[in-house]
Amino acid sequence: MALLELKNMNITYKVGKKRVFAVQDACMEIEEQDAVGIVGESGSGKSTLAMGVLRLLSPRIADIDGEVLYNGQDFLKLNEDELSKLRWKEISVVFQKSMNALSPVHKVGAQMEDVYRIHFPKASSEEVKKKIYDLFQIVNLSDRVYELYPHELSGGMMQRVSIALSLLFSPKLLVLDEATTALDVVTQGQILSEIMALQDKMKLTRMMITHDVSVVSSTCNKVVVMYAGRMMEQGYVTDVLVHPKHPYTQGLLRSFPSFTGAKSDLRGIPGSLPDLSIKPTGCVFADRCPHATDQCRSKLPEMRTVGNKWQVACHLAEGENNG
Amino acid sequence: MKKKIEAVKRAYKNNQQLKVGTVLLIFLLLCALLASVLAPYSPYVLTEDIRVGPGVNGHLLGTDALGHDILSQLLFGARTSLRIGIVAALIAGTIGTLIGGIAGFFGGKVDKFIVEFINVFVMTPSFFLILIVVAMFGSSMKYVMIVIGLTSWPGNARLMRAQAISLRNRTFVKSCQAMGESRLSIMFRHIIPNGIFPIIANTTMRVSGAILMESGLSFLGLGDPNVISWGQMISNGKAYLTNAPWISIVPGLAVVLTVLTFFLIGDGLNRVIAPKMNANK
Amino acid sequence: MAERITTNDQYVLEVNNLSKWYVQKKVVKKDGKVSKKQDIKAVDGVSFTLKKGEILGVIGESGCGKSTLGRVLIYLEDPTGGQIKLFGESATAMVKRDPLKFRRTCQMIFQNPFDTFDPRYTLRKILMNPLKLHNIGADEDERLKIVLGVLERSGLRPAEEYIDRHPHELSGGQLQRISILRSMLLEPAFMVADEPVSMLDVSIRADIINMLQELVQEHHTSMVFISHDIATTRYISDKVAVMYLGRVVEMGDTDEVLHNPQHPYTKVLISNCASLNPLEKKEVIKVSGEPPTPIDNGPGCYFAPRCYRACDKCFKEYPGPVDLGNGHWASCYFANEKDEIADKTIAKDIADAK
Repeated sequence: MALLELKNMNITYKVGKKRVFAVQDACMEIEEQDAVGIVGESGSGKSTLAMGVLRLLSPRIADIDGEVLYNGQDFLKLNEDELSKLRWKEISVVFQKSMNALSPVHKVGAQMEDVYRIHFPKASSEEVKKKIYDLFQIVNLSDRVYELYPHELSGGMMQRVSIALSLLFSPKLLVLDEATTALDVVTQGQILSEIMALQDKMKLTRMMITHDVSVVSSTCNKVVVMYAGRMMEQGYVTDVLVHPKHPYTQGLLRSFPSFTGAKSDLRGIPGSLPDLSIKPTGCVFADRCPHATDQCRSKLPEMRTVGNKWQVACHLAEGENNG
Repeated sequence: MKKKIEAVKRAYKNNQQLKVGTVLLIFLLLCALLASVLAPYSPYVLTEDIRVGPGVNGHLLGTDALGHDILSQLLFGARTSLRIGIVAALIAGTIGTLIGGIAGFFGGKVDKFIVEFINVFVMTPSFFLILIVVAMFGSSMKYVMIVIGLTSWPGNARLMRAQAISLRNRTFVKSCQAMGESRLSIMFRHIIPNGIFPIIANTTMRVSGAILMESGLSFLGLGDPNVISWGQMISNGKAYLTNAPWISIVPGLAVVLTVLTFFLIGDGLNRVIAPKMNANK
Repeated sequence: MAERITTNDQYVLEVNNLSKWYVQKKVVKKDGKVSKKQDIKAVDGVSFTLKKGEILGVIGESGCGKSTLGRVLIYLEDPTGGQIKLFGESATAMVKRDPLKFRRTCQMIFQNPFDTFDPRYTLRKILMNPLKLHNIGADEDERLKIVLGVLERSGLRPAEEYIDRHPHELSGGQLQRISILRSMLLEPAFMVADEPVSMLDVSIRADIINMLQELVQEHHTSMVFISHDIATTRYISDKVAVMYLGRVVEMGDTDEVLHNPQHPYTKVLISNCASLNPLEKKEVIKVSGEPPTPIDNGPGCYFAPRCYRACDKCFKEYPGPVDLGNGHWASCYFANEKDEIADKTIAKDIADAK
């Protein structure tokens, strides 16, 4: 059984009288110990999707419908108490600037201790300390960090502390929302390899949200490509990123200059993101797609399976329709 | 342009302070402008009713010890108070913007010097400075306005300096520099227009400070004796506080109302500007 | 792509031992002691030359001084030491004598297109002002024609409809195109592009890069292209300089440096660049820590404390440039020697390239 399953999830932001359809018809499965990368450009709805899954969007600003099944339990139907039992213990999240959540006037260690005591109020001081030192070791931080204030840490160290913090209760599912985006190449490389190592050690399932395809290709086994709130293509990275079937994925991959080989093959995708407050009649990508036909403009493409767990939402991709 | 009008409309809709303030301001301005039409008597004329209470013999707000009609004096006094308040605040706003803009934008030694200069001004007790000037040059309304303006700019200068420092590092300023615009042109065309909003709000609030200051001077008998001002009226009435309190209380309330008006507008403007500034960042 | 034409051998830009130091103020430390006034050496002795139409890519991590270098090159900040020569003439003298001419010769494209233009101005004003300032176009009508042409070329059609819009009504890609075209209106001989695409979405980056490249080729403009993205830098530049803590540690022809790196830092940077192809799983070279603030980097090699092959000598004296032929050099005692650790990890890339 899948650890996390999304069924026809829709997220709509309410902005005044306007409705912004940020995520539409999201369906996906995450198996245990999968590493799923969600890629997309800004405005693709990838972060909204993660926030929706974690129920971090206030109902005042967004409507969510569909089903989010975590171990068969519908996340969207839980009340606050049940949710708080699951958050952090089962599912935890690391944001791009999650260190902003720490108080600048208290030491890092003391704040981590406080968090630990929320779920284990009776833990002894040594026990907590040992747990935190263990976590520091996992993310390659020295014990000295315990006694430091947040502003004394560098960007890489901060993100490491955030990861350590998210692992405090040994969650099953770790969501990383652009967690390494703001870091330098070298630091990012280091942290990514640490995350991969820790995934094996702690039997983690990982969901990675990023705009950088190369991060997904090197650290994930599955990928979901999103555009304008819809899922375009999903499957194993070795399929999707090697022989992409959807024109958007193809265009996206061609937009990255390559490190080896000829220099000439660099093309962007002309045009820009459609207005998300208008529901399109056809495929959301039709306006920018080089292969678009009349059918693409008039009819919404359904997800079709084209291989082993490989799904493409495009009329032009061949495969069985499982609509 | 349309959008700007829309934005102003929206600002008014959500901002009670601004609404009340503007209504009051329009009322005050009408009073001052139409004083000669509205006033039942000339403010200088001595009527036969001496120290009569409000409502007696057609004197809506009564008369003072010499028989002046208080309502008429009040209306003409509004002219003086508003003029002094606005002109002084404008002087302070202009000087503050220029000095603060130069300090913040040019930085370095210029900035250090100006900051010290501002500190000296902040530490000087301005009221006594004004007393000295009045003692030396006499107490015409012109001097009073200028002196109040010249002594109350440091607050504006500090605000503008902070604005200029943050704007100086924005990309568009660098980009203008790279395009070859001179420093002065950048300051007047980009730094000041983009950073002026808090100064406008502050200047509006400063109007009330200037009005209070003028009233204080007039109360002490150092105002211009040739024009009617509220401070002077209060001062005239202080001897009769026990048996004819309205002589002082009525102009006193007028001062309070005016100060409140400008304060409401200034604070309202501040609130309109603040969220926008945050959204821009 | 055709070889870039270098019409004559005169250097457009010669930079000699350029440095920019900032003074760090005294700080009261935790133990109550007051620290000394120290120099932060953001750019520390950089030298290079650019021929007409040549593009130099500058790569490095944030804080390595590459952006400072860009700002100093076009005198947005004054250099602390060293010389910049434009067509053999001292740039410092030129800025003093005729600042407008200098600005016309040297232009810059900024990282953040959303903040490059005054938010209160319309595109009309934004584009007309520089033309007026530099006396381009005979009268208002001709200038307007030039401006409309710029808008058309940046994809804003019909131009008349866009000319009175404000910057916040446009997308990042459109703004960056306008920024590039505006700089090119002055037909500069030399241009600095400071991470021009890092804030844009991937699918529009390629078009901006292509447009920049076309324009630069059209006008034979020399360019310094600053970026942390190695693949993009490789795509656009003829030469590459790798910076670490304010110094250039390796420089040479693009593919020479990137496919046959000799400085350990270059190797670390390259090995940490994840590939797009998931089948090409590769190991990364691990180094510890992050670059420190460039204060007192010590007598030895600045990278030595983090380097995987540092020896005693590395900590004692800064290594001079080792010439590797073809204008490729690296400041490392081990340049041109066998490197087993790196060979294991990036050998595949190098093999692919060959």
